[in-house]
Amino acid sequence: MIKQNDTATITLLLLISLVALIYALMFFYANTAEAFIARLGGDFAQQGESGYFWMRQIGIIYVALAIGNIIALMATPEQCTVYFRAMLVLTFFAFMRALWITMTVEGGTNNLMPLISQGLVWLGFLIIYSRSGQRSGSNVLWF
Amino acid sequence: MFKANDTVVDITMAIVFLIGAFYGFLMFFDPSFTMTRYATGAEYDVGTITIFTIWLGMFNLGFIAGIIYMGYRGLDRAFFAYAIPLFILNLIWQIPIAQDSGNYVGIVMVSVSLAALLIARSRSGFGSPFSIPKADQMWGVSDNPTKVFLWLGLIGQSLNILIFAVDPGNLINNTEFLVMSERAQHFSLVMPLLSVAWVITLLYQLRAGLSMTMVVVGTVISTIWFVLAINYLLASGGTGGGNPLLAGTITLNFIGTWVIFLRNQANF
Repeated sequence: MIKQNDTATITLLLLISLVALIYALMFFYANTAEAFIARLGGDFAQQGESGYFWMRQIGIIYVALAIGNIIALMATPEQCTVYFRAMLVLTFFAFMRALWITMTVEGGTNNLMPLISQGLVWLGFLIIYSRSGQRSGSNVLWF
Repeated sequence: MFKANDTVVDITMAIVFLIGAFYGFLMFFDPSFTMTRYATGAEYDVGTITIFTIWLGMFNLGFIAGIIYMGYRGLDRAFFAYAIPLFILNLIWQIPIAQDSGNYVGIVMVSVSLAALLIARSRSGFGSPFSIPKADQMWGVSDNPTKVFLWLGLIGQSLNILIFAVDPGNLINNTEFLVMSERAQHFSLVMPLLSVAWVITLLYQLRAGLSMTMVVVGTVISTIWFVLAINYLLASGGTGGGNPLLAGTITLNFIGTWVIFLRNQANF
């Protein structure tokens, strides 16, 4: 059933899917969304209903991404080229945004988890992309 | 689809899928809406029924994952061995709720699904449900870890039925985030009913061989359940009491189904 032939790729896709699903349901349900906001140092009461509405929306997107990764497992690496490239762009932008937010937060922050987790997901997709032999150039592989 | 080359099978399975998906998404993603449709003014803890409703939605999502799998790989007797008893039990379970609330939509939907399932099975050429072909070995696989987890699954599901028979309030009374009420007790009845369906399909697979359809159903359910448990743990900051037996079962179920899936997926 799984058509990806690289163990590292399979492991990474499964792990990323699991993490995506955890975030999806965390954003989706009120009590876990409130806990998430509280951990980030925010006031969950001030988040407001519209804030939770958009968190739920992001949760739905995370569910779709988790399912997308599972579907990618069941396709050949060649069939996943566009998906992997899109995910590389998405995770890179998300990482850059997390970096920007971490750098510009007033008074600095000790909570580096969003930055680290976004970085790991981006790195994961970089590894998947490279190991599936789809990198069109050798621009990053020189080291 | 379903490798049946039969429009009636396609239509009946589509009906089962649509009803399952409708209830799955509704109960999992918007449990409060479902409760408003069955509100009777009876005293019950909203949080407890919400959790049970989310779990019911989760079981529906696993169920439709099995239908999607069969859509590509063909109909599977093990799935019917699970679904038909489950829907009969579900119908019985729905009666008191419908009588209390006056809302019979659930009963109608389950009846339509059950009828569609029976039609699909009757046209699939599987023959008598009691004439079960025998695999060359138990569970039809030679992989020992797979066999161990399948036996654990069978024993665990049987124990769940036994525990409920001996102490019906065990799940609710031993779980910190669940509150006992008459309504909650009725919702908790779903767990042993599901176990009955799982025991039937596992016994079938013990004789006829492993069913990847049911592995997919189990893996989807166990993954969602594990993620819900992780989220509960994260939200409570590890300070919530929880239920160690339930947490252990969810974790073992998650590990077991994924081991079975990953070790056997190449053969299906």
